[in-house]
Amino acid sequence: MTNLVGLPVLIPLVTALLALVLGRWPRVRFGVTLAGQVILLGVVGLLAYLAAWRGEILTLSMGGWAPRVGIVWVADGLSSIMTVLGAVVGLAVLVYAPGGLKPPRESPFFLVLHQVMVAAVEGCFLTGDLFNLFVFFEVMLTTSYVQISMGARPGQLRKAFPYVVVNFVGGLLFLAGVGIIYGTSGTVNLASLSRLIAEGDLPPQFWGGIGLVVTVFALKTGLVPLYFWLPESYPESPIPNSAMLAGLLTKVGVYSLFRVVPLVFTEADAGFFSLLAGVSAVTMFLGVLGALGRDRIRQILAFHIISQVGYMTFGLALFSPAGLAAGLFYVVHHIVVKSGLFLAGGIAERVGGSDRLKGVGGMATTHPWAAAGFFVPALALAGMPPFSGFWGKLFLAIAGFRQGYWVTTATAIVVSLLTLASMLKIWQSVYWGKPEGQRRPELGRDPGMLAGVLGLAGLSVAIGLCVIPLMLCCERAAEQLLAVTPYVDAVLGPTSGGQPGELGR
Amino acid sequence: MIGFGALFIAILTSVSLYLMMSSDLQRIIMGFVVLSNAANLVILVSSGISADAMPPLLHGLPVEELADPLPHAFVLTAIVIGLGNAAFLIVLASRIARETGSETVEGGPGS
Repeated sequence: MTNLVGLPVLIPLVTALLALVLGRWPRVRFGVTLAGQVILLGVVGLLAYLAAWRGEILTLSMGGWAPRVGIVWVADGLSSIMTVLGAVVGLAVLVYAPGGLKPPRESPFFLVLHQVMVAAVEGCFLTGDLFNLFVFFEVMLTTSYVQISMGARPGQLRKAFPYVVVNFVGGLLFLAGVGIIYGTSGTVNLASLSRLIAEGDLPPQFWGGIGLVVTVFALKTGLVPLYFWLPESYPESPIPNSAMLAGLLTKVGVYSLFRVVPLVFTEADAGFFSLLAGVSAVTMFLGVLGALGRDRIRQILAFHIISQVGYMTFGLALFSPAGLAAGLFYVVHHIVVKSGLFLAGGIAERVGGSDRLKGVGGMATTHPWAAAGFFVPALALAGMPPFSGFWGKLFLAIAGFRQGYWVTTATAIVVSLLTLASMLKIWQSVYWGKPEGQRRPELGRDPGMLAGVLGLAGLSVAIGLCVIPLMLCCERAAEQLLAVTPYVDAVLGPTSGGQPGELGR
Repeated sequence: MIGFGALFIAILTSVSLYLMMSSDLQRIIMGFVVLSNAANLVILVSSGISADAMPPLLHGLPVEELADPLPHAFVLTAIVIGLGNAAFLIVLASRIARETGSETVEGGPGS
């Protein structure tokens, strides 16, 4: 039964291979990939039912090695919720892709790269040790490098270069951090690390390693001041892939913070958490300010990723069951909504030929469904009831005020209003008014694209309506995260095994 | 041994930082390659393998005399990833040079 934990990585990798082999038969290839993605969704659904709903923690030790030195896969509440989101966004992007890619350059290897990226994202969510996390980060980023430079337009290549270099350097710092952690503690397994930290007497160099790793997570997440690379590069990628990047890649950074911080820090580290809360507030504010000044759809949306990430890390900074659960709920809502917005904005870009706000207008009268697919997630992003974002912000604000984080919570509320303003800006120039600049209106009626967009929009409404069961799952996952012991015991066994220096098999 | 290694890492890191500050694409790539070697050395040095440790392939030696194989596995993985990344960067830079006719980053001199 525990082999289930490895499947979410295995299935997309197999599909990627098949997609590579079946290149000559495009229809068969697409069908196979779609089938693989649906199977994946079923598997992670089952995983989420077991882990997030029933509260079990599933672990799988590859090859039966001791967790301290071997490779361990762990699915607890947090991981399984995230794997479901990865599969959902992957499916929506896949359905959207045939209409959303600009032929001829972007199409040939998209399916393969997409499936490898899904596998890597699911791997990041399920792995139980830092070194594997590094490897899956690199696999995920490598596919994104290829995708971001796929069109080979001169401007795109120039934007891709800094993105690639920044993420490489981030990866190397991560690697050095992992090396230091291994050198000073004798393990990179998260559960073993947590147990060693609880026992105390680790050398100060160990904390240097942890500091490096947490900084790299902040870089991948796009927290201030490490966000500069994000809004320049994400809009350059092919439209379907930019939805993957926006929805999942930065959120892998958020997930890593949610995973590692409770295992490593305790409530006693108040300094770290107030720093994180402050950084979150500045991130929210600077992100939304950047968005106000832009005039291209996907650039505005990319700046909003940064702004929204601040909300999630604020939930982590609260470090209480209510705060973490609210942050987690926010992650769930955000992944769905943000991918939906990028896909919906992409339809306007396909119709107008460019993603400039002035490039296309009046989509609401000519393409009502595409407009609806933008309208719902836009309101959800700004936090209008009854959509998903309203609940996320409400829970977060309640937890924030209750714990006395007045400034950050107030910032969060002001930023929501500014978010609404910039969503209205897109709405007014692209969707409202008389139809103009629609060079290829037929592209906006592609059933696959509409299905992807409306599916995610519908999911956002559903999250808003089913808020109670979902919040229960998030609360359970948050309590699991804060308690730490269940996770550690599930990986290592209840007795304190795995002493450093022992090579046990 | 650790002191010497640390010094070496410091030199490599400073060289790579200097190279990466440049606006020339080739220099940035060189800087990246040097930095990836520095990161690999960090793993080796911080794992504290002593100079007279035996390779963990030999049979019949007591465990204390063998080198810890895990850092080697880490470094091997990292070398492979670093090589792939460097190859990708070089191709990307050559495409940039071909498409735009300049070998500097955006905003750099001559771009």
